[in-house]
Amino acid sequence: MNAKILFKLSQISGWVLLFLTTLFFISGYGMTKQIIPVGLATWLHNRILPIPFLIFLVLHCLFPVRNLLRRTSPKTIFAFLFSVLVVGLAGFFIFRSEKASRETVEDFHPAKFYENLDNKIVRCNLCPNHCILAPGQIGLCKARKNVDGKLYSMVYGKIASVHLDPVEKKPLFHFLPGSLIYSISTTGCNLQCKFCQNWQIAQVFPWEVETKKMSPEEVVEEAIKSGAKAIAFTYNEPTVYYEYMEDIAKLAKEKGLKTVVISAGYINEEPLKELLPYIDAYKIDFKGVDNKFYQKMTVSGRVEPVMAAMKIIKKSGTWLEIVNLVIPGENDSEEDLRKLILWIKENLGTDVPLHFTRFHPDYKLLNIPPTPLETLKKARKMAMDLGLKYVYIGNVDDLEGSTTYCPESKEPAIIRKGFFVLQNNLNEEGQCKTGEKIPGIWK
Amino acid sequence: MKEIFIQPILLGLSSGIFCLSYCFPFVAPFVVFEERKTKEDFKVILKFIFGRLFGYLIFGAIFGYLGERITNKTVDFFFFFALACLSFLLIFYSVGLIREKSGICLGPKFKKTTPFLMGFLMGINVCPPFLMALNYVFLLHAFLEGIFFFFLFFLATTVYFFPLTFLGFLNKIEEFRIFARASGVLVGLMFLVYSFYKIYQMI
Repeated sequence: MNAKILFKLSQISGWVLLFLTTLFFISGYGMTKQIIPVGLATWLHNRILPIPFLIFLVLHCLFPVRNLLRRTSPKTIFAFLFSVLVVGLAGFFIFRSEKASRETVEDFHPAKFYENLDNKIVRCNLCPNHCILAPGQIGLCKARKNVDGKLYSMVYGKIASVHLDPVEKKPLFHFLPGSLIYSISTTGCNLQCKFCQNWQIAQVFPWEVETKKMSPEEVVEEAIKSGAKAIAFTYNEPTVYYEYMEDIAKLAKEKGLKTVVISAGYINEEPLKELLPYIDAYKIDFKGVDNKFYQKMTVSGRVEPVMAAMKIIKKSGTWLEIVNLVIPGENDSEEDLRKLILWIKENLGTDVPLHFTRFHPDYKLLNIPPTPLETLKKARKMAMDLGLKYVYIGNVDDLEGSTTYCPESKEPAIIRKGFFVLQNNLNEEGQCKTGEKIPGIWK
Repeated sequence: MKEIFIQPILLGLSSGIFCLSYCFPFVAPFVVFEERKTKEDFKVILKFIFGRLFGYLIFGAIFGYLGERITNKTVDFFFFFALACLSFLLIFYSVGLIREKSGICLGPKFKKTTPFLMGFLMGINVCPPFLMALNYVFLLHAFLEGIFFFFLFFLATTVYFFPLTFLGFLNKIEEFRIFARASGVLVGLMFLVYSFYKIYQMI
């Protein structure tokens, strides 16, 4: 390119860079000192300015780079690039190791439910994994760390994902049908299922993804602003951010919001009992009734603690719905399904809604095909034949399988398509036109 | 039982490329900043690799035997101390303090053993695959199994190191030698400051 044009370009981009840099300073200052609205400052600083800044920086450098290249031999340039690679790699490794250890206690929140053993070793008692952690070690969940003999939550206040979802997406079919729910998650999981559908956030450390800091007050405030009637702790396993969830749930109750936990139910009795008074509904992923299945598909899970958790939830009066992900060849045999259905019937009753959902290949389980619709229909029929009153199928488009029927008259009570309610024939008390009452939370 | 064979080999093969990229900033300047014959380059790499093997075996034995009796802090301290020594060595070598003919500097014998020493120090460093291997060995509580585990881990990771010999072609070009020396000093200084910072944090 012509040297004169490049020179002119360099001059003009220099002035633009000066302007952009000033804006950077103002917006950066505005983010902390509120000289301009914080939202605008953050939007400018993080989203708008960086790319034009980089483009003009490159344009500004074109002229000097051209001159340099004309004066330098290719050998020198390659040798320089070689040293950039060497030094860059060294810098990268220092940055990587520091990033992992950079977070200090100030970034963490004291954890609950642990006991001190000898030599500053702690045993985490939040979930049945009971991780024993020496100082500096992180739990299986990637969310709790022993710092000098004290256990901390590394994910408190660090939101990895936030959405406004239809409650049917959770799925919760007997809970404020047709409403939107403010859904949040952090990172980490204590089961690490091979078929994890949210592995991008559930199977990582908090520093491996971009997170947004939000205090419990901010979460509740944002939920109210969004018009949602409830907050859902979802996407990753909420048990791993127990302290954060509990603080938000307490605050949400005070502000009149409902709360929902979407969990695998791998939690110990004591923390669960402490949490339940602040939770309106619990959805449990009951992965299978067979312990071998849990051991094969999760990092170290067992089915007994999940069963115990469901019994506690049911007994507490918190609304409970159950999901069973049907995986071809793994937990879809007639015997497995029958055992699961009978266990629910005998231990939780026939009123607990059960959702059989379709598996699709994800995370480490990419070699298994999606569940055939027929399998799900068969499972639903079997459950209804065995006496369960509210059985659904999910992750598929099936009108009958996603409709709630009045148990006696068999009239459709709520007709759904996908995540949306097409028709709701129930009154505010959850009664059909015939007067039959369907259990759930309806207002 | 077959786990003791399969685990280290799979771990080494799957994380060897990471080992290489971690060692690269130390090895690359070292191979390039001095003009040598290809045969000598190969010898240097071989010495480096054997140094790593020696480091791995010693650690395998110690950690396999002592297991969890060694605290994380001791391990960290040792790692960063080794990193500091390695950085010093790289800086000394890059600025020419370790050479064959010099009154005030370290002599030819030391020069010949430097690649081995660097390999040894590199081998016991805070490389993440090494830490993973270490975690496994912690649980073995067995001297011989620890050595065996690290030996297989070493074999599997070494596959990725041999291509480094080809870097030797670059030391025939003067420009590369100059830049390699400069980057050797820079890398050495970076890691030296980093290791001192980490040791200071521990104290």
